[in-house]
Amino acid sequence: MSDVREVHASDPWWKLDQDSARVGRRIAVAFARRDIQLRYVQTRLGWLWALVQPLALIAGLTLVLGRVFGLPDEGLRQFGLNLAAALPGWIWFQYIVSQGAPSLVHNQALVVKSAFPRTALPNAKALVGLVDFAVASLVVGTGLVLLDAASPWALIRLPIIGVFTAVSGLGWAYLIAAISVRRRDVLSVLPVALQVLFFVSPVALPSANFDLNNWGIIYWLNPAVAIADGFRWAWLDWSVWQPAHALSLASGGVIFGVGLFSLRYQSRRISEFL
Amino acid sequence: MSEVLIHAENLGKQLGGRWALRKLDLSVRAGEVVGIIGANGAGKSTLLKTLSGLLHPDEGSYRINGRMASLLEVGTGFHPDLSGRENAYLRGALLGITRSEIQQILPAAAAFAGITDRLDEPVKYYSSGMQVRLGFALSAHLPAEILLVDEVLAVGDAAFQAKSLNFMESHWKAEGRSIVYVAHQLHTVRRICDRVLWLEGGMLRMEGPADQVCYAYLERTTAQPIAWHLGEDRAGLGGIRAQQLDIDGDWTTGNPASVRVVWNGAAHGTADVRLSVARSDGSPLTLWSSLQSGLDKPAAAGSATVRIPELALSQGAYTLHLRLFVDGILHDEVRDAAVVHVGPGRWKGREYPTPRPMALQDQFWI
Repeated sequence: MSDVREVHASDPWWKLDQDSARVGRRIAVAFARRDIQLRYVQTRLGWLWALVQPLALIAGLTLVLGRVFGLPDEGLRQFGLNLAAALPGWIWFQYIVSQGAPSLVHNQALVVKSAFPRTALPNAKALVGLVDFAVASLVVGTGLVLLDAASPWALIRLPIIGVFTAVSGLGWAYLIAAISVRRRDVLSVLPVALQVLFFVSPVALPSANFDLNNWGIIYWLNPAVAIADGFRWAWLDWSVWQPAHALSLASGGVIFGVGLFSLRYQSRRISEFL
Repeated sequence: MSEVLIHAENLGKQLGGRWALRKLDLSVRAGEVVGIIGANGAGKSTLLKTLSGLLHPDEGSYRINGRMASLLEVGTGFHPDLSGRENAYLRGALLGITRSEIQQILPAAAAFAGITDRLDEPVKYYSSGMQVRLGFALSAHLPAEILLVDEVLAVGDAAFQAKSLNFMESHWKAEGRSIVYVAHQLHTVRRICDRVLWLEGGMLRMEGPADQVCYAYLERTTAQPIAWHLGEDRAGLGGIRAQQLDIDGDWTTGNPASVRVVWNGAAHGTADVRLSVARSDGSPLTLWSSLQSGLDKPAAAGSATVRIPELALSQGAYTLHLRLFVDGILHDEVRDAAVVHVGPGRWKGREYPTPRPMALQDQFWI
């Protein structure tokens, strides 16, 4: 074996350990595997939950919100398609942020004793979310094919918008995780913030239905806008894109960069402060 | 000469505005076991954390040539719902070791820990001893050239500790793996380390062969001829607690010595005051016990004195461990309650030169 690690005090903080990417990947996979193994321990339905959950959520939200909005049958179908296409992607994004951000603090004992790449823990959560997302997408895809609503483009477009979902979710997860090393407050605010984000994101209704008034720019800075609308574009081949979506897409990319660098910057200090 | 696996130059780390480690040069060759000793806060853990990559140095540089496993924490970190096997994979992943490599070492590690038949049970059904043993066994069998060890040998029962120490000698050393070993138990350092670094205030104070450095360290830390200190960290029931030690007499070989123990608190029954005499590295030599000497002292009495007419200890430094029992139940325990330096004297009329502290014995040869 020829692993050589050379560290100088003067190394810049963004310098990467040469084999940390490989180690990080292994850790992410191992931790994702652990989470998935543990999830259905001591449950009766076991793996069936992975199918039941997205189905129940889509059916429940369609019926409840459809009733609230007082939609006719045709409107209900339209509403249901909108929701079914966007929901798995939103759930994945929300899972990455809500589970990935506190993963350093939750695994504190491990983090302060072991010098693995810190992005591995949020990445593991993204992988777990990916499994859920894949199962939910299978359910949704089957439904859309049966309803004759699925676009053949989905096979190409889903991976594109899927990568964007993971990237922007991880960006936020990295950033909040980096802040949480010094200030745990962010973790208390997080569930509320995500709840609010659900209502200001076009998950149930596409962006075209939103009356934005003066809030436009803030609305479009939310990467979940591009995620939800993007999955409609992917599944249903609807022409959802407006010029302002570029802002949403860009914000996802920027937050990934900011998050990645924040976490790497904080990595050197983690075992001092956590 | 064999290959250098760890090379650190002018290493320094600041923690909380203070230099926790400074100007440290360290070089460890393949097959070498290097011990790090020093008081709390001397920089031992900072050094290990820096070498393992947890802390980034503020000065200097280091180079690690080979795979490194740091065993900073052995008995914890297992997930209770996962089996021992799955936990082993997880532990391996953290150190960058693949599943197949873990599969290779797992039979040997499980056998060492004595849990072969329970490897696929969730760890929550293991006893705490089994968890600690599995943790150590896994770490000890990891395929790495360099091991950073922080006090892991202080885990498990005495039999397992002895087994672990043997394993370090027979496998790690024999296989040419390098170990950097931080310990407070000096006798283990002397047993397994080829070379010892003594850190003080974050800087290197002395480096050399284990015996030489450990001896100097003891001399330094026990410089006063007689010192006693009843710390706050006490074991036992606490009904009665030692308050004071009066150490009297010459404390030279073959001459009188005495220790008066004063305690407070309330308990009913017969007190047994035990002073265990140990070498400075903690290995016990002899025991002075009030009950064994036939003294029937009520626990309420509050003091007892042991008089040694002819001190049967050779020249050197000793520590006294104090324990107070009432009707066989431990009420107070003070480790390292006192340090005494026994001066040179005559034993049964003769000089009795010994290379190290020893208990002497009345004896007849025919």
